[in-house]
Amino acid sequence: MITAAATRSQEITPDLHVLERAQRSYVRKPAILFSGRLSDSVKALAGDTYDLLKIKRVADDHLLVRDQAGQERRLAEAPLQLAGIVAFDQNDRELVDRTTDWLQKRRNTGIPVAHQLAAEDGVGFATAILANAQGLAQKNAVLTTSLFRQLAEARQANEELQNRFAALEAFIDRHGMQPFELAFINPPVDDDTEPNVLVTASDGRISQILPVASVGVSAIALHVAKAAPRSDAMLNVALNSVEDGRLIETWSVPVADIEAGWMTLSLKSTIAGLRRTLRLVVSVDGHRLDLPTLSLGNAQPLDLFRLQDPDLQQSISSSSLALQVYVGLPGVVPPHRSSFSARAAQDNAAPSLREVSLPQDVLVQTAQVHLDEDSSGFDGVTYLDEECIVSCHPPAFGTTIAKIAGGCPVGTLRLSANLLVAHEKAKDVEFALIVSRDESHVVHLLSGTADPAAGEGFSGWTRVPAKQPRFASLYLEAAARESGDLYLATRMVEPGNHDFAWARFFNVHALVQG
Amino acid sequence: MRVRKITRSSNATKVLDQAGGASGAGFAPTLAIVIPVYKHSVLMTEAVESALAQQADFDIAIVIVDDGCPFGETEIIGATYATAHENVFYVRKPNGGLSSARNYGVDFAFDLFPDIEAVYFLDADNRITPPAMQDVFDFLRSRPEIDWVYPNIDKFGIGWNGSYQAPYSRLLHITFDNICEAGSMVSRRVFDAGIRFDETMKAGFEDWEFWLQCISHGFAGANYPFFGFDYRQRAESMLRDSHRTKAAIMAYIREKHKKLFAPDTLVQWEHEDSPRFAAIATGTYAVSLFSDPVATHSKIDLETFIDRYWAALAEPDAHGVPPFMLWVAPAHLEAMRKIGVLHNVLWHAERLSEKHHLVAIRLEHDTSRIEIKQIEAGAPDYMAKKPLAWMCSVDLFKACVDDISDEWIGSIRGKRPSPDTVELVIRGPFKAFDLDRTVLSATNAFLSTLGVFRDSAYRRMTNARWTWRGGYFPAIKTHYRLLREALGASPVLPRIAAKNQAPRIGFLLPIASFGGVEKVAYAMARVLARLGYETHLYVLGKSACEMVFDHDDFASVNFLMDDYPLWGGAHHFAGHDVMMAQDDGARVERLLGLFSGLDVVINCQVAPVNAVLGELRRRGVKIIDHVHVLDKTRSGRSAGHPYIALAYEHIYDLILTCSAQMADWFHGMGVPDAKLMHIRNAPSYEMRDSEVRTILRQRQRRGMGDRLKTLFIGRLDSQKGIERLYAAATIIRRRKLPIDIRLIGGEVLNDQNRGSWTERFAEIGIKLEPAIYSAKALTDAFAEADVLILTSRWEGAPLTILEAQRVGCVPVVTAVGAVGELVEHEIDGMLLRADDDNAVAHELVTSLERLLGDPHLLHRLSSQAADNVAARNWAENLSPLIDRLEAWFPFRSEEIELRRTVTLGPVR
Repeated sequence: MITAAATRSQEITPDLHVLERAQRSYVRKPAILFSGRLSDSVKALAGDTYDLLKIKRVADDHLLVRDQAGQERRLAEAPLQLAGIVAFDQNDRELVDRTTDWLQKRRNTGIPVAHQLAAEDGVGFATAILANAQGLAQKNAVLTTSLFRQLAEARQANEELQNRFAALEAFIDRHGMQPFELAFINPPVDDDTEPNVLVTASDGRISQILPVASVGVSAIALHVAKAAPRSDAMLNVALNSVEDGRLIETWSVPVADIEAGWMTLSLKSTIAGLRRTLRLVVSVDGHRLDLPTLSLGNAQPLDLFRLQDPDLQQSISSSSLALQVYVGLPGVVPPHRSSFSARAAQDNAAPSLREVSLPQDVLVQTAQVHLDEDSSGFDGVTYLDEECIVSCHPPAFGTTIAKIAGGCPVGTLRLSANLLVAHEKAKDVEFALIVSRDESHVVHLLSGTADPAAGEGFSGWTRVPAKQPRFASLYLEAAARESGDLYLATRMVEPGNHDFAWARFFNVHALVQG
Repeated sequence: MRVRKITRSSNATKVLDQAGGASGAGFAPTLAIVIPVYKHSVLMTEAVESALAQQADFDIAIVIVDDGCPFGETEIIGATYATAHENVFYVRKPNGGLSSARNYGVDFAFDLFPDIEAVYFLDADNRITPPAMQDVFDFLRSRPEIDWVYPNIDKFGIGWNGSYQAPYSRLLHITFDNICEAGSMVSRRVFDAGIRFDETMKAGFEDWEFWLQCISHGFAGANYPFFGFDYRQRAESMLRDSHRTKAAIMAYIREKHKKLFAPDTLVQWEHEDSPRFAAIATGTYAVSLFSDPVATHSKIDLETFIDRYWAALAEPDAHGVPPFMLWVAPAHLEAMRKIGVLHNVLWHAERLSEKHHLVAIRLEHDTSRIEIKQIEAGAPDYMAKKPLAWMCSVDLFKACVDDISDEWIGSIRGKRPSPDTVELVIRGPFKAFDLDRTVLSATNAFLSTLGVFRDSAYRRMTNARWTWRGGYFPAIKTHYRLLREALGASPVLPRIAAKNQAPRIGFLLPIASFGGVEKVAYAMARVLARLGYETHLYVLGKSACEMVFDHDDFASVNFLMDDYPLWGGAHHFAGHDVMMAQDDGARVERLLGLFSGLDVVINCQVAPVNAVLGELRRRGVKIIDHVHVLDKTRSGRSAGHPYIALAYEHIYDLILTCSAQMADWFHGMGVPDAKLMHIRNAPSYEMRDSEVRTILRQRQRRGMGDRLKTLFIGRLDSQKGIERLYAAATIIRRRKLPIDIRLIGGEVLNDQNRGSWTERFAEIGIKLEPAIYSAKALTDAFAEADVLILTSRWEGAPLTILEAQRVGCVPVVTAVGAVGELVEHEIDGMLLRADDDNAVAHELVTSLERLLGDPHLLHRLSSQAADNVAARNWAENLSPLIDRLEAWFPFRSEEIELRRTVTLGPVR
């Protein structure tokens, strides 16, 4: 008969072997490695706190030690908590050094400095162990504070992301608003007598404190009074935030590429984080004789905002640079003729958002589609070529629908249009924008009997009183993968009288990714 | 213990030592960042990390002061940082509040590192940007005139950005808000002066109080516009709690820093930090900026002024020009100063500039009086002559600059200007030379300045704000209103204390004619002025004063120039109408503004002004009443200023009486003896001893002639008992007694007289001579007369008696009021003791007959009178008052004591 105890014994025997092997090769308890003879005083000092392991041999794949019980242990790993390495015999120094090397190959940190001590030197032994412990404590503190730092950074990043997302959500909620806005303009003054500040500035460097906070800034435009198309120089522009000394963006533009007028410098991403003061530093690489003339604004009574020498931080003009500052969503570039992206953006070519007007060759395709039975064949769609306006006169009953083939470009996230009923005697008209690949689905979307499917968008109906401009946008769930058709629809709010209902869509434009 | 040291070149930074250095050798911090922690055990890591991330070319010690935080992790985290970074020090103390924690950190830092040059205070939930300490320290070091540097406020959490970029203004710091965040860098000079945070302040605003201590010691701050200080704001905080209890905290601060909140101090700072007036000199167009034109002030050229003007339009919180502009020749300012009206004129002009578009100022010559007259459009004399100066508000000036048409403003060249213009005419003893300087027209200067502003290149500016942080401070041009609010006064007299800090004494008079009340006030002022006190005359009932006093007696002459009732009020006390501060007619703000800066007020019988004196007393001004006479109503009821004084006894530090009898009356009426002081009267004007001796010798030589020469001098009214005199004169004429009666004085038209006294006396052969005011004419009249007659029904202690006695003129006077204290019967005069009018007339005639019949008696009385009065002089009589003033202002009395030893005693 097999007893329960025997059964248990039989069952656990293999585990015990594993455990014993592990205990022999893996030291979890704080350990002190030593060579030479261990005196009683040292043993007494170590007490039961430490495993005292005498180094026997150092091999490539293991360290052979003997513990105080006299058992040899073949360590494949460095002890988890190594409190000290001590050579009590000067002749064993080489063994101790090899042990240190062996340990360092297995552990990046936590290997204490080896000490050479006399066999009876209990005080020296204690000092060495305490010094190692102190070193460990300090390293732990450094580690802990680095974790504090990371946590603080994560907390700050969280707050910043919260704010950025909130800003984004606010933007999305403001349906139809522009993704960028002109936050400040200092218009150029037409003054031929103004010197070319790039030429007259010492070292060709000028700086300008900007009049807006950093947050949200997406582009800066400088005004060029006179271009220098034959110049081989390079215009370098750097944008810094002053309070934290951060370099935010740089642009390098061949002077020859700069045209007269506004030169827009777009950031690769809209500035986020805490609000800071921005300083723009403009400098020139290359020949300075033939440089474009940057326009100045009106006389500036505020000394801080006058054009400055960036090195001396002193005014060099009684005016500021003529400039525009745009704020908006990341990556959205104001539609200017002469735009330059940030240097990093050019290198990285990250996808960005662009606001684009529908080109005339697309708009000219506008045609009426007769989908609504109530409209009774009413023909009210006209494209006014010169003004880029789609006139979509609603019928007395039912809906007028215009189709712009290819009116939803690839990458479209949003389509928008300004709306106007251009006669004061007209009754209120409702306008709508629809994107759909299925023409027959448009009527269902307009009537509310169907929801937009993937790739479709519907602005909803926007009521427009006479002579009171409105704005409408539709949003696609994802950027359009292929070109689609845009439908524009109008109807009378109160069917029956559509006299003077000169309904017009204009400034039809898309927010495009990529 | 060098741990983190980084040097920065122009484009790059280099980390010298990122990890904890082992030895600490060579760690010599220039700056200590003190981080007090209480219950911000987690957020403190952000503060400490931001301190550790500093990029500076000097060592920084970071001192974490655990103010007995009950959260265990504060200790763990603080100690861990100190273990990990050897430039971080963690200290823990029993909880004592923010002030005590900061002080502990400061003292710890200075104990450990005596060479630290500055301390930065970083609260545990705030942060600083990496370049902040280097930039701010460089800024502090580059400007030896400043002692601390404070940031703009950039809040995160609940975001807000406020621009604190205005030039540092102590006036703003005291009257508006704490404009210096605790997160400022403070020079060690401040701590070496013993300044620490007030550890009794545990409910907030301890930082405000700290800066007030700095201001008291003469230290100054400045804003660094790119500081890099991030202030964490959440929905609730200690600061929000502090605002809820702000009133109580501010009361404590005001009490602790009384001197800082004193009018003198605030006006001084207004003058230095936000001057109220810009005076553009006709001719040179140099612009003087001042509140007090007499005090040292800055001058700038017109171009600089134009820069400031346009900057102020763009960002009025940070840039400013004075709220009032003045076009005037410096010589005319000086002329007004010389006759003592300059501050008062500016005070009026400021008030009028707020009510009218323009104030035209004209000076006119008058040797006998000083007067300020306000002439409105439509009055006969309106714009009769060319203005010598113009004043307007800067807002009006802006409207003119913005208006491209010249028609409206150009009309000021004529006598009927289109702008609403009020004229201030100042009459006084100007020197002809001063008034002659009118070649350069103030009108031209005004219009030319306007032209220059209109042509300015800045005019095309949009006036858009360029500083992106919001303007938090009030517009600099409105700082004068903060001053008004702080003092509860409007407008505030633009006069700052003289450097010698002589106590300023204001004499308040209802009118300034030739009465005894004003003569006593002038005599007192003369003595006090000679002793070094700064004396000022305030005439509240009229805007003119006769020049009975010497120029040196008063440093200034001031008029309220308002329709100010000199008697009455809505409340009643012991049969008297009295006015209280809350009453409409009290004019509290205006009077407090006019009296601004006074140390002592002597109210010389202005009844309604009592309504504001209580407030002055609460502000530390010593209030003295000077009472001269207990009047009688028509029905004979005792009435007048003594009763008014009883109503307001609480506000008076001292009540001066002209007689012992009056002092007794007050005492009997319940006024403590300690508040009463009898100041004996003396002749109102001075004579040299030699002059007096000469007159007495002549009198002795002359003896009494065939006829007894008598003199009555004074008002011909009921109080003076003119009916009694007339009755006596009738008897004398009827009996054909050899007595001449000389009658000098003026009729009082509303005295219920029964016909003209001039005519009635003329009928019995006595001609009424007009009143005389000059000292010489008075002396001649007394010298010629043998006897002074006074038949008054009631009196105080008439100066006339003393002035007559001084030159041997024997008073024969009714024994009313305190006359008995001046005349001892048949010793140095004769007293008429009858009450009934007829009896008085007969007693007077009898007395005169006695003198007529006994020349030896007349001589004896004359000699004794002269002897008695010779011992009386104001300097001596005022001794008790001077002693009291010195007790009140001991710190100023050294020079006065010196002068006193020289001045006391009669003029030889």
